[in-house]
Amino acid sequence: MIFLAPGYLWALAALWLVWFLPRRVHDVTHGVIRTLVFAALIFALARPVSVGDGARARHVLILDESASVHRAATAPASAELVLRWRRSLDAAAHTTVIRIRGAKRSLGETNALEATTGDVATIDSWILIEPGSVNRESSSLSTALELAAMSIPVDAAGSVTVASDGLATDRLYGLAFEDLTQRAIPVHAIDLQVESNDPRIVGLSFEDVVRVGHTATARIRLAGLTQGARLVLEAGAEELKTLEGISCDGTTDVDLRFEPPAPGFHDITARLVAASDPVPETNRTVRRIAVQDPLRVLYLGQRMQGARDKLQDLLGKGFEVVDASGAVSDANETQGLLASADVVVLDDRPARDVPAELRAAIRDAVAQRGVGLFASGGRAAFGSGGYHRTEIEDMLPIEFVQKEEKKDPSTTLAIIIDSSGSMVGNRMTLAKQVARLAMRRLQPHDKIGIVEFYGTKSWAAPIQSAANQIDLQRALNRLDAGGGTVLMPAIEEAYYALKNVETRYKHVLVLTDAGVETGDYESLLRRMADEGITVSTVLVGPGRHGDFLVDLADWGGGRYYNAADRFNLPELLLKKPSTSVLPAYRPERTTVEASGGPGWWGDLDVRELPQLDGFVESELRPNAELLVRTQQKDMPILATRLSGLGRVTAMMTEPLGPGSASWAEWSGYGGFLGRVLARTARGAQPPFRFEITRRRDRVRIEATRLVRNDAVPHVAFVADSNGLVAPELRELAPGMFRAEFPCPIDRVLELEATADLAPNAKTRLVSGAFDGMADERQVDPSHAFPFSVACEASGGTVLDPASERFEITASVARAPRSVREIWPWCALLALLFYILDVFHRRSVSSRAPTEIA
Amino acid sequence: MTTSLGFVATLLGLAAIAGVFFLLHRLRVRHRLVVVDTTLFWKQAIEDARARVLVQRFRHPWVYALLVTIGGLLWLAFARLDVSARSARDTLVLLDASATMTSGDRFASACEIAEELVPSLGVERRHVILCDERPRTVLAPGEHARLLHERLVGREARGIPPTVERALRSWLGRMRERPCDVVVIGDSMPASEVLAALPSDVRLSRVDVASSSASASTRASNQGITAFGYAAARSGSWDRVDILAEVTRAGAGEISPPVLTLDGRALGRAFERRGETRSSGPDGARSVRFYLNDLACSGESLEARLPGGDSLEADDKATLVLPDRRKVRVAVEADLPPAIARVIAVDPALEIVEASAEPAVVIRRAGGSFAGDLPALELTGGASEHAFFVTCTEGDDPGATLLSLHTRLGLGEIDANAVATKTRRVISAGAGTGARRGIAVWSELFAHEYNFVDSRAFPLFVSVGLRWLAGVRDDVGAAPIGSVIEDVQLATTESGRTIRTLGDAFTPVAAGLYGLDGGRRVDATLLDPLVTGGVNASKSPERYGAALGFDIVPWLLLLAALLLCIEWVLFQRGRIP
Repeated sequence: MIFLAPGYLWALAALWLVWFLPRRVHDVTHGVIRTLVFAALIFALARPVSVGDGARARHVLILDESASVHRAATAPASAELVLRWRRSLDAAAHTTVIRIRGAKRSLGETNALEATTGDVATIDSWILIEPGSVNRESSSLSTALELAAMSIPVDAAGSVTVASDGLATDRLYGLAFEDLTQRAIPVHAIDLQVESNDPRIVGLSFEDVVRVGHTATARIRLAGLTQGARLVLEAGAEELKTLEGISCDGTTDVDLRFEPPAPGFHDITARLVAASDPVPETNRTVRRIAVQDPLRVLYLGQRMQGARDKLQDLLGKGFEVVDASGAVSDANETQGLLASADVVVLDDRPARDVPAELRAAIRDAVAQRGVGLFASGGRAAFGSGGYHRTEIEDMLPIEFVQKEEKKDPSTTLAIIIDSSGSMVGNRMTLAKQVARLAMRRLQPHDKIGIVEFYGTKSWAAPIQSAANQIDLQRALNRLDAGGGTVLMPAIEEAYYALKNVETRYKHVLVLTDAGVETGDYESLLRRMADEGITVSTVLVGPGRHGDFLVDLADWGGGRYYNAADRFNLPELLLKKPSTSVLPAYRPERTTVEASGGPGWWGDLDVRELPQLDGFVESELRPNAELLVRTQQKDMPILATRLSGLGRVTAMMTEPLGPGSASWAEWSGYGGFLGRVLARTARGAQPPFRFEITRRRDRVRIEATRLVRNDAVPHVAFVADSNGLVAPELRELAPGMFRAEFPCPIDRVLELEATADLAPNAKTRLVSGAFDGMADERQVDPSHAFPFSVACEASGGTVLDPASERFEITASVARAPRSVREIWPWCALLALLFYILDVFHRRSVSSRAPTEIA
Repeated sequence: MTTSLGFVATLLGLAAIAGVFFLLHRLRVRHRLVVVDTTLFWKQAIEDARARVLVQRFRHPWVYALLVTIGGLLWLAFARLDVSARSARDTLVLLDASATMTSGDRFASACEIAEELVPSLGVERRHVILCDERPRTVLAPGEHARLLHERLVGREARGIPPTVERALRSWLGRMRERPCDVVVIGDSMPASEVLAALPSDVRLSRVDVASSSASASTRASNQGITAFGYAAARSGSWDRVDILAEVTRAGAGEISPPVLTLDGRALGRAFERRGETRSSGPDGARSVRFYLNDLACSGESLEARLPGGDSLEADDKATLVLPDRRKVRVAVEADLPPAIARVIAVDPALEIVEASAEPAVVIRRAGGSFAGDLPALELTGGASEHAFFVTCTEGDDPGATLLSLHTRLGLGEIDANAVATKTRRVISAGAGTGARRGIAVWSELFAHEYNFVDSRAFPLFVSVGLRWLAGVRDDVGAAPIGSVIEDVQLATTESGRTIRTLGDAFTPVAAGLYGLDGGRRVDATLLDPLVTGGVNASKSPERYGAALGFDIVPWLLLLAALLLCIEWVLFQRGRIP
């Protein structure tokens, strides 16, 4: 026994005063009684209590009466279950029943259960779990477990029995269960679950980023049994997608691809339409999503009028095309536009019209910030645009093919052969061989004429096509030496003949042994040279000096050759062939085909692409991916590759120009181009990945930095925050920021997240009301409370609901203590003594003196 | 006003007492003649001639009132009368045992206050919860107040963030039959948003815990570590991490960087100091972030400790388990497509080892026993249904795992249409559960006639796939106490106790090292700027009333004692019969 106020015991020392104050007590009995009155009173004031072992074990029953519980016919009713549970326990045990009720159950029902069971069994405490909201049915097993753990004081013995279908509307029971197991309190289970065939929606989830104009995927989880059902996805009154012929037996995931509504926040409803559905109200679920802004396309074109509007029309609302074609000279403006761009479209713009600074800025944006680059080229850009050896070319997934045309200019050759007597014999033969050599150097499109001079001049073969080799050879063979040597008229004859010929080069070749008359050759030959007719000379045969012939060649702008014998025939240079770059653009109808995976094309049917009207020839780089190619020669039309953090896609024609004129008629062209741009821009990661999660009334926002800089994230409420302060994100680890704050579970949170270094890149975040909490009758069966695991881990047992008596074990208390108050009995004792005192004062004396003497 | 006996029983008792005294009061002296020989016997004659019979007339009503008052007081004391206004309200007492209560004797003082307060509350209406790492009931309704003392003996405050809000939220989960007073004893208060959202019938107040002025001043200049975490090195080195430590100081004074030790050895590298921020409010705490880049790591324990010390030791130290960034050992069966080995060779996180060299992951043909029972990337024959099949372990959601891996493995990048056309088979991916992780893929896909090996997805498939099989995670690491860690089925404490999450996330509630499934480890540390900066303690909307409580019973008893004394004196003096 201990005294809670032991100080009062000092008053016992003053009890003797009763006997002497205000005067001495003669009636000993009375004195004793009065002393006892005061003593009992002092003891009562000292508050004695007895502390001992043997506290009552505390047992808790969690009784799930929520709407989802469908008891089997053999399962007992709630009241019967409570009675059986109570009967299974020691009569002295402290019992608590925690009832999980649906929000729509009436109070009358509640009291009825307590009244029914109260007649028979002693339940010390009834706890009703507050439904989350009157608008939302819920059965929070986690709250029930927390309250159960709280019902068993620390160090006390106890047990928890869960009678439920396990389909709790949240799964946040980790901490409560850990508390129970840490205290070795067994959790027993009475599984009330009955398989339900009611077709219902038990889950609706979306991808992390849902962007306007881009196909999004909704994953809908169905449970129950149905065939030929229809699944509808809606945003308000707008039907986004419908899927017919849905079958489900158990649990099935269905993916619905849909086009999100306008940027902002939307309630998306999934609706299941199934025939002969007993509970149609479970066929609908709503989830609030954030639809992100369209991708920002920075358009840099030049050749097309109204290209921006055309591109915007093609791409639709999923893209916001900003035309910066006219702003490339302003470095600051383009840098600013680049900072907010997701993808840059460089549309058939020659390199000379893209300043080097801008090219470098684009390169940096792609490599370091993951901005996408879509470079398209037709005649102007890739054909002869001059991107060779530029920053842009280095990033492209293709290499330019520079085909050259070898130019063999047309030539007319007038061969003047000396057939004078001095050329007799070997010299004439030698001259003919040199002439043949010269003729062989000419192409069929060239022309040849042969003039002989032997005192007079004559055309052995008039100027004619070099293709007439047979006639020319015959004319040459017919030549024979004899007569004088008069060269001047022969040159003049050739000169006048060549003047009337239209070829690139005109040449006169004089074959002689140098035994010719002198004359005013210089003025003639210089005039010929001035008119583009060159004169070369060949000294035929040995033993002569060719000084005169050298002068002739010099005046005629030609060359001098020496053909001493047949073994030393000269290489005659009659014309100078040259090369030129052929245009790479091929303006011809070309059949193309697509490759690339579904990741590139999604649902887009690219099996039969329309023909192209023109493209630029190129070669695929080794590490690039080919998306569209020509059917013949496998020439790349669309190719892509990663460049640093970003992606570069090259299109070898003008997306808005004549090269793709046929594609413009193709209904899928906009989607095609949109997919390509979206995939190209995918590398344009925002500075942070944001995530918002909710656990009951706690909201957590986490931002993970995706770029290698020191950007800091910020979040702000977009609508009236109703007293909520914008949470401040704290950096917990390098690049990982987090904010946690309380918020009522039925409240919608809409936020906008940004980063200080990229203020234009906004991400919408939303946490809908009751996020993380399933609807009462639409709990995913795979998320049911794992009874067997919980019982095994806590030392409990899975109990048979049909059993008349449950085997319920309790934890062994570490220090079971009980306290009994003694002081009230002291107060009562004092009262009784006092009554005795009064009675004594008025009682008849045992003696009855009639006379005192 | 309530009593332990109930209103009716108490009234009946009072009536009975009044009745008894009424009867006793009507016992009167009957006049009779007593002859005494001498006046010396006068007094004795009076004594002997007391009332002995009931008389008809009721006299001395004030004496009767006195008797009934004394009797009534004693009866009411027995009935444990409670006249306080709180008797009609439930009272929840939340005893804060979080980090701020560790300084000095604050927690002991809080316990004393609680023990003093509780007796004044209705026995059936009071509930006391000790808010340490797991808020637990230390006094249930109906239990004797003395048990509170018994249960608080030996308990101490812990270096944890406040759990008052958590306890309050749990307790308010029930449907209340009566209005409720919530009394917080200690420094912590729920967030202002929670206070604002309290039901109208719930009144929350706080009792100040007195502390010495020295302790208070030390707290005002407290310095502590409020963030400590790692992330993959910005330099891109696979086997290195960057470290962040944030130090917060309440009040003036220099903020010094923490000293680092790696597995108990001094690290010898200093932090780089970057920026200083000040929290809102006139006495806002200041925080400085310190960074350390490119720290090589292979699963060591990194400890940051502030030099010196202050009254709040809990926030002077923080620990972190660095990720194990040693290379994943991969055993590759012979005669497999060489492209696999080429990818492993260029991946800094992977290395090929012999089957006998304790590999973590194996790549083999399906059905073989090469390298034993290990997580495996297996090349299957074309007879299997799915081109790609992912096996996850029990407890994982196969569908969710497949969905996650589908993107990470780059399966979406594969030209499945082309492969399907060439193979004339449906290309599909499936998932299931098994004893260990596994990825199975058709071996035919590794032929160059398909675009799988040459695709951009192939290196991803091999690298990410092998990392996933080996359980390598690229997560950032920071584990403040109370933070939610997803995807954990099982956790093990340092003492070996197993925690099952039952599908919920794992939340470390106390400081210490936890082993998580998949071989992960986290070291939970306080890291709470509100605790370190002392912001929480200042958020008190209403102080609990000046009188901690009023127990009328002692006063009843004292009054009864006083009246008894008076009555005794009057009786002795013959003023009352």
